[in-house]
Amino acid sequence: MNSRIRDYINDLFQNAPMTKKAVDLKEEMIVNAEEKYKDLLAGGYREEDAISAVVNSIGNLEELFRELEREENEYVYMEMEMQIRQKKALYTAIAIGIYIFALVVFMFCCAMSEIFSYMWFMDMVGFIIALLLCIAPTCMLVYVSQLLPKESRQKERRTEGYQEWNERGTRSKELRKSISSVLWLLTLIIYFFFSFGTGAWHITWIIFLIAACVESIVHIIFPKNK
Amino acid sequence: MSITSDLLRGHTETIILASLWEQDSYGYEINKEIMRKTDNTYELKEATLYTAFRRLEQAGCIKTYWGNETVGARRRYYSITSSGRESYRTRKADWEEAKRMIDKLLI
Repeated sequence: MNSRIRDYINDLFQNAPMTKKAVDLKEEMIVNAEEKYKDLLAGGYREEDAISAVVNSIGNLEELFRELEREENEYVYMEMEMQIRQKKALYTAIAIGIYIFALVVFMFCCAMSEIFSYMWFMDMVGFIIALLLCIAPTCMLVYVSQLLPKESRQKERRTEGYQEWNERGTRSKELRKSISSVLWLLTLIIYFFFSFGTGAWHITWIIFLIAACVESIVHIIFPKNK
Repeated sequence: MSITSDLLRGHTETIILASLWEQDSYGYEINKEIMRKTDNTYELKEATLYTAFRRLEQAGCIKTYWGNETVGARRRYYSITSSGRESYRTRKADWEEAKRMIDKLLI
């Protein structure tokens, strides 16, 4: 078999994107070109003429390469987005698991202090352990909320000015959401801490009013649309 | 001939769908058939042909698979999908419409 056709097409593909699709396409073109070359020889062409006829019929591959590149980029982007989504799901699941575990620990310690009177301090100990356990998942949730937002794909297609404006809006919204969730969690922790500690249940609920105030302030600092 | 080629190039994808209508085929065979049907006056450039394959595949109009030839190199076959058939009907209707209009406009 004449290897000049193969060499020629290999040369042409030097500018092609390095993807599996490009390799497949090259193989496909070589096979078809060689078959055409054989047909031309059988039709009475001289070897030289057959080769130049095959080479001439290939044409400009630039557009084809661009098409390949575009397909590849789309594929890579989809892959990346999927990875981020998986990461988000994993971290959220772990965080919720730890929260539940913290609650179980707390309840267990409370039960201990109820059952054994000499362990009267266990509810306090359990509470502190649960509090410490809550730190890691809270950090994880805040981190997850900072990852690429879901709508990023559509955003890319929009005009740049709008995109920037929209992105800033979304980021501010994300930040506000995470601050809000941390705020209410902290409020709950402080409420139980002081209530169990002091036993002043009749007054400690005030902290929820304070938290509501703080959240309003947060909303002023991070407005819905900048 | 070059102007005719330009006019035809806009219909490359439709022509490919038409030649896949009856049976699966591969690049060279499709081009050979086009040559035969046009009495050796029209031949697609390979670059045009494979670009059209990519686009049709992306649009879900055709599917591709490697043949299982026992002798020689393996060919890459294409087959038309049901949405490809649907797309062909629309393209054909569009062409009939355009042809009617141009026939009316040109004396």
